[in-house]
Amino acid sequence: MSSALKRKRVRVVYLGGIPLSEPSTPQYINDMLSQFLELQLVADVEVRIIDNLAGADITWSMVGEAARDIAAHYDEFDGFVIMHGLDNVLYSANLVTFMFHRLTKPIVFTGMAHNESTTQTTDQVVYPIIGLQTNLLTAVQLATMNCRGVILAYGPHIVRAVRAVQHQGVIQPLDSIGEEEIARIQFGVQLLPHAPERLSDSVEFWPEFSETVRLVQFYPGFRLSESEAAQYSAIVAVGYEEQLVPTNLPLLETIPVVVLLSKPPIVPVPEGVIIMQGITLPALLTKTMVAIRRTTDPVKLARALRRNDHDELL
Amino acid sequence: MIVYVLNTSDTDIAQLVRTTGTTVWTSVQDAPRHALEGLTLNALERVNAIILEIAHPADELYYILAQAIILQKPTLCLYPKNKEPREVLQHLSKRTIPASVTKRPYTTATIEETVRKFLNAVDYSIPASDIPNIKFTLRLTTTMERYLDWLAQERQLNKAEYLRAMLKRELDNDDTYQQFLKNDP
Repeated sequence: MSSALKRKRVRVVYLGGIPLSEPSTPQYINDMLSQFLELQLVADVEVRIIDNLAGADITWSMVGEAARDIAAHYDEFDGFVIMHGLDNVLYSANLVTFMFHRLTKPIVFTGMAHNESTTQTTDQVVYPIIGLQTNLLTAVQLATMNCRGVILAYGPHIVRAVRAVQHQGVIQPLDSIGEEEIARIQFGVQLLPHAPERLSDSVEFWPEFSETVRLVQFYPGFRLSESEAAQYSAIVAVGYEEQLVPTNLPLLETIPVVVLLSKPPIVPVPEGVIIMQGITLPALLTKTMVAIRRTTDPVKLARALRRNDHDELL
Repeated sequence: MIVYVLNTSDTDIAQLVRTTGTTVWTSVQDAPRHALEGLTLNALERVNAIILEIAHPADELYYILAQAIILQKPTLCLYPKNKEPREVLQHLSKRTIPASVTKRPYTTATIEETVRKFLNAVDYSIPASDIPNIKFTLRLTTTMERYLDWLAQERQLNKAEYLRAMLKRELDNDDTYQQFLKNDP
């Protein structure tokens, strides 16, 4: 390419996101991705295949492995792409966010946004493979651009992981709360003015996270025995507006309970309960998973959760 | 027909395309708002053809070229005859590049014909050449002929050239006709 456009290097970490017929070996996937040679126009792309799973089957440890791969190669590449099915991507992407302190480059999640059948909207028919290729190309392009943070590129609107929520649309499966999308695809990829720019600082990687944080949604008859609760390092709950948590929740003294409310509590907050507002549930859960490995002290944990290092708090 | 043009060279390719009566988009500002609603992939879905000047780099050039390949849009990649972008041309020569993507060298003398030929292949209503080659006999009155002689001398054009120029001005400024061209299937 012309010297005026220096070649950028992008690492693609593959977890899944492409429906393939079995068996699909790493070599097959690597060859398939290489055949999307349009990618090679925009950057030098290197592929690492971890597994090939639907989003619903991807485990926390696989996400951790993808993050560790990125951390190990952080200085070698200009940006990173993680291929991941749409299911659970909000959780995976937020976990990766909180595993990096002061992320200075982009990590872009992408995959197929449509199921295998063609999707018809008004007078358009969207072909899934073309959609995947376009998403992947956009993700690689974003990974070369002047932005940072964990980003989701599953359609023409590009959102930050910490502000992403599920959307009911088929064409645009994700939405953003508290801000517009950070980039749009028009002809090229257009970063919007509020998109965080790259930094030249050093990045810190926090590889440890707890997989034993229990996410609960209270409902009538909800029970959690002491012996069950003993398995967990913390509880993250979508709380009740008037009472925060059920009175039968036993472990306020032994494990932290983090309660997500939509507005400030109107009752006194019991000791050991941390109230959080203005954050998405996937972000809160994964932030807790990382923070609880760094401290179990409730005061320090509360302080860590209330830090806004990734602009995750509205 | 709508053509997307990406060009950072000194040659005004967009204007050249406009002279054929084609709608040209060079950015989203050129596209009417409703045209970009409901996009599933990107705005290139809405165009019929793409023209890219590939020798003068623009930030989004390779991304757009890659999208054009994915979408298999008729795409013309232009480069000056004396300034071949070798790496891009090498890439565009691979067997897996679809036939919808073509590459052509140009000079200031040949660019109009090159663009017209490409557009004609996409839309036959656009003439491949703007060279006058249709004979037309026109009977004039003596008064008219004398006036035409005088005009040709004043404007330093031969009579046929003057009449063609006059007709072209009418054609370019006739909004009803331009609308007809857009709606004509």
